[in-house]
Amino acid sequence: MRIRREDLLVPVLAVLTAMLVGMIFIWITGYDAVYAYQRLFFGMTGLQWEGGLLPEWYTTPFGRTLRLATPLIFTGLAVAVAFRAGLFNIGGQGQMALGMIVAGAVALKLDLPGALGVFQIPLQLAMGALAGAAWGALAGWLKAVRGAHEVITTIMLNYVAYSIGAYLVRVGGPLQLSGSTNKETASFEPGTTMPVIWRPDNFTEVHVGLLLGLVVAALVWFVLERTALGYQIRAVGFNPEAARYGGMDVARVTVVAMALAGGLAGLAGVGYALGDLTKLTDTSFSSVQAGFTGIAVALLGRNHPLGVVFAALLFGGLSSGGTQIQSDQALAAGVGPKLVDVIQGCIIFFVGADAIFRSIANRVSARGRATPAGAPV
Amino acid sequence: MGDFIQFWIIGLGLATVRFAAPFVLAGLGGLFSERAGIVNIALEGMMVAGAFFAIYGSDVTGHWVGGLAFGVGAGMLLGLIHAVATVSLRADQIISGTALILIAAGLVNYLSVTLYPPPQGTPASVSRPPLIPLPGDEKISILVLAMFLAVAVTIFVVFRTPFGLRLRAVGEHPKAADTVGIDVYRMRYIAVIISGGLAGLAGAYVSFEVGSYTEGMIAGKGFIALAALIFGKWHPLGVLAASMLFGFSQALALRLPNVEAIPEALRAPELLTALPYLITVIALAGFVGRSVGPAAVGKPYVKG
Repeated sequence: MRIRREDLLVPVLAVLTAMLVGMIFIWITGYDAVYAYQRLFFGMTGLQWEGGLLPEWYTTPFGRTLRLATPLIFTGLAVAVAFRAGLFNIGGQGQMALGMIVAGAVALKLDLPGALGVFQIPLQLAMGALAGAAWGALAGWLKAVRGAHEVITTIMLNYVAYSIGAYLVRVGGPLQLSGSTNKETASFEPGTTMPVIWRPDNFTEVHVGLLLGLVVAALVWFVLERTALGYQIRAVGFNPEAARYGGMDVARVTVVAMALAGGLAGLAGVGYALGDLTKLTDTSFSSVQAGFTGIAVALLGRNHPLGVVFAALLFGGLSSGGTQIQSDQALAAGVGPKLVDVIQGCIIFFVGADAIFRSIANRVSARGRATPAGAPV
Repeated sequence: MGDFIQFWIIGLGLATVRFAAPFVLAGLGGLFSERAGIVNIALEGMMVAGAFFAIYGSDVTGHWVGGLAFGVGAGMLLGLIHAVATVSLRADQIISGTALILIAAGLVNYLSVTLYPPPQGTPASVSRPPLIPLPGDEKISILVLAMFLAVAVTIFVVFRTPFGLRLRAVGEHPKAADTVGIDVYRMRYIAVIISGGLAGLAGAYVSFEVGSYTEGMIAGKGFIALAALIFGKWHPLGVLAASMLFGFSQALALRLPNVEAIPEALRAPELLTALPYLITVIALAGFVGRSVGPAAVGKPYVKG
């Protein structure tokens, strides 16, 4: 896939326009928009100017950005892979929940003895990915064989997945901490949690999922661009009729693509459950937003694995910035995350309605052409 | 025996209608839009906006009619934005819809915490649409009657008026419609704005039933309405019937936990909340076969 100038220009313009809309919005509701964005930027990067020419760097906000970006790399890839097959996967939430459930169950119920312990975490990752893949494949099958539109089935399956999770940890449920009156599991044992690679402070941890995400992004690129399966996925996405005419099994490719997508989202769930949470509760599953944010990540990243990684960092940063301004005295309580939702929605909107930028660009270049030959442009 | 009839026939029947009403209203909204060739998955976001602005409008104007106007207006405004994006700018209809869902939820939840700071939250006692007494001490919202009326009006408008004929022409074969002088863009704008208004009304109904707005109260209802549209084969009566099925499953899910004949583990409320969503998937996959929508749905039209 050649990267065209437009592939860089549209996302950048979309982000800038969305930021502007968010700014106008804060201003209309009567708050200091410049101040809010300064804090948002600090929350994203940890950079803050304190009088000197160069900014001071605080590691905590940046660590939080990396932590929040980690699941988004996976869920962004989950949406992107499906997109390349012409499928719109809004089921990242549910596929992620399945990954959380199964990885959590393995972590709580299975304790590999002695030397086999080194396989504990890989096993959890594999089982979680499989669970997500099965959930994704189900939506793929419903689409390919039963003709049920994946946008609706994946959304519905999200709610079903939340219910399964809540059911398993309910009082008396199979995964619930017996004797507790809360809807929660026991805490995960140290040997089952994701290894931490960076700890900027006592409350912020970046786990190995970040590195895994980068490796998986490279793998997804390889599969999509350099294998027969990837070629089939792209062919089906480009034109299913032509792919069928060319002898491809469109139904099979649809199911496989959704399984791949689900597996990626499942991995996000494993990392989130065993890296960010200490235990599962009945609301752990529905309160995740990474599955939905993955849609924005994929669209902004133009469904390219490298683009997805950058977009995940941006959205992880926005989310971290939202947390930063959530408790800020000068702004209304609790607006930070909501504001970030608005910005995120606007980014998707402007990526989708990129004709706005194209028509402006055309007008500008038309004016450019109208200038006399030889005049400096 | 009297209790049985009260609980299972009257109670369940009324609950079915109450739960079905927002699916019907939003489903009809989806019908106008898709009949004109525009997929509107933003129904979900329009319902969220309708739900919040109905309470806000009722609070500000002091009357439920004002609330209704705010709720419907908010939905129509989102419809206008969706139309600008998909008709004029030819954006992907699903992407624009997804964006609007996020924008609507973000804006509404931002506004709800700025206008009604926690812990008080939205006012609990705004003016609400009146309830109509039914025989046997039961009551039902006047909006439920409006819902049945909306079905009848939609049938008449879509299938019995020149406007409806143009609407369907634009969704089936925009090129032909354009050739005979129908303004395709204008029809699509009108259809998507009507769609937003109906979805806003559906959202207003949901929050008026409860009496306040809470984050997450729409929870996929817009998508279920979309499923009702497909399951109902893009016909108002089909939408009504499909919505009743989904409403029934929701009403049943609330009642089954009380049935002692079922093993406790199977009637856990956590599991039963999945029932309406599961039924929706099964309905879409199992019984519809391949239901075929308007021919030009999802495709932007470029004036030649």
